[in-house]
Amino acid sequence: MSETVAIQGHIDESGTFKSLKLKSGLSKELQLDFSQVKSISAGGLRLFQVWLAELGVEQLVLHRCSQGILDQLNSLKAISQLKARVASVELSLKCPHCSSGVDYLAQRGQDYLEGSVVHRESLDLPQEISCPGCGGQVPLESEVSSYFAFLKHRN
Amino acid sequence: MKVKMWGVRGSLPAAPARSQAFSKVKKALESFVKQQKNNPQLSVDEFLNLPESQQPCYGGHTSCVEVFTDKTQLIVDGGSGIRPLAEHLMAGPCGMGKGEAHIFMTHFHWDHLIGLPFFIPIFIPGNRVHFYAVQEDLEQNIRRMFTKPNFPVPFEALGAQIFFHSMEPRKPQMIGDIQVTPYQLDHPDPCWGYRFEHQGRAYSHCVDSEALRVSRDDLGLDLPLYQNCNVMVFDAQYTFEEAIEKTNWGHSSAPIGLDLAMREKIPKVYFMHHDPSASDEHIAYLQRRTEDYYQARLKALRDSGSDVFEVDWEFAWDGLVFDV
Repeated sequence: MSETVAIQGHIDESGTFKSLKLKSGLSKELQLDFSQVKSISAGGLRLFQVWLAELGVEQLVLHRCSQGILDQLNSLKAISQLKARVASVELSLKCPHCSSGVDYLAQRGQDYLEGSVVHRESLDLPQEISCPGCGGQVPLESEVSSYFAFLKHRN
Repeated sequence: MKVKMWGVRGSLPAAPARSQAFSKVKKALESFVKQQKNNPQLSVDEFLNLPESQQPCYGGHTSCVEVFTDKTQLIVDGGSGIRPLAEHLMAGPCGMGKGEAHIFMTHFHWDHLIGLPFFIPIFIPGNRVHFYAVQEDLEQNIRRMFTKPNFPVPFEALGAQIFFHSMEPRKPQMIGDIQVTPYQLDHPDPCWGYRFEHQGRAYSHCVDSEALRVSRDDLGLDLPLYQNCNVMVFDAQYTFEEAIEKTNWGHSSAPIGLDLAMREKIPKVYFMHHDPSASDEHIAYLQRRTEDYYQARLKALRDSGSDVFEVDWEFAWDGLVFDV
């Protein structure tokens, strides 16, 4: 598997992501850790797509996408345009019992899978997860399913 | 200063087909019957009294926009929307052969020219019609519209006095009490947007444009078109993904316009140049998609502690009038 590179800040029309340090001899698959990406604008996504094409990237794999980033990518139907695979999604919830923050890393293949010619898209998150603060149950799937709209946006 | 949108469609005029009109009436009747079940007193007038922006009809005339003050009246482009504008002008001095019209051409694609042979004041002796453009072939392109066998009245037979004015790129020019400055847009054939200023208020007309240049650096000399502007009209013919597929077709999408407006703090944006194949339902869908993008972008910027500027925006329709 190729190296995962972390990308940070805003992906916008300034194109600062172009300064990302990539190893020479980049493979056609690019693995990006998106957990530190703060926002993606339409103009930024357009530039990002051109940049990937210039690099010769044929398969983009995104790791640790946040809900906020997925909201933006979904609104632009960007995952299918980028022909990207979302390897994991960082879900952040609030415990309804003690108000602690509760995180869950949803993984492709285990919790969700995009549709293909042989199978339909699937979302199979746990109904609830335990709060590490109070041990209470935190509802999951019903709260976060909208972030997985990209599963239906396949070309 | 006010602006009236006489034509907001792009590429080709788009009259609704009989089936579309029928479907619209059917939907309205069904909705009325449903609402009347809950409110038996509901009258037809009350039912129809929807805010203008909620009425699902965007219109089919191609580009024509009127910019006016009490003293000055300017026209941008001569798409099919200039025909109803001509009828409006004929009720004033133009109808008596004492009128003066100032038409600013962005470029010479058909949808921006097609209404000119139906601009009635140009046939009336005594009227004075001024055409303005940056492009050097302005006169040649206007004359061609009045050429047999495409149109029966030759240019030489037009009744009005016609003047052609060459504008210098990015150089302001006063017409009456409105200052007009052309800035270059991103379009396959040269196309110039205009910034109109009056009493400290500015309206930027940014159609047709693919807006390939968005960053301040890339916009360079054309950046002032988007700065300190109160209202912008922007080309949103496509969805974001369609615009990417149609690179170099010369048109943009609403999310790109919102990026510019949010960064340059433009408080009001209207989107136009709707695709000729787009039904009213499709344009309403584009509005919903744009709202999803806008809300997601606002939230992401707020969550990251970035500067956030809220923009009031909507998709324009034929007949829309707004203050600048």
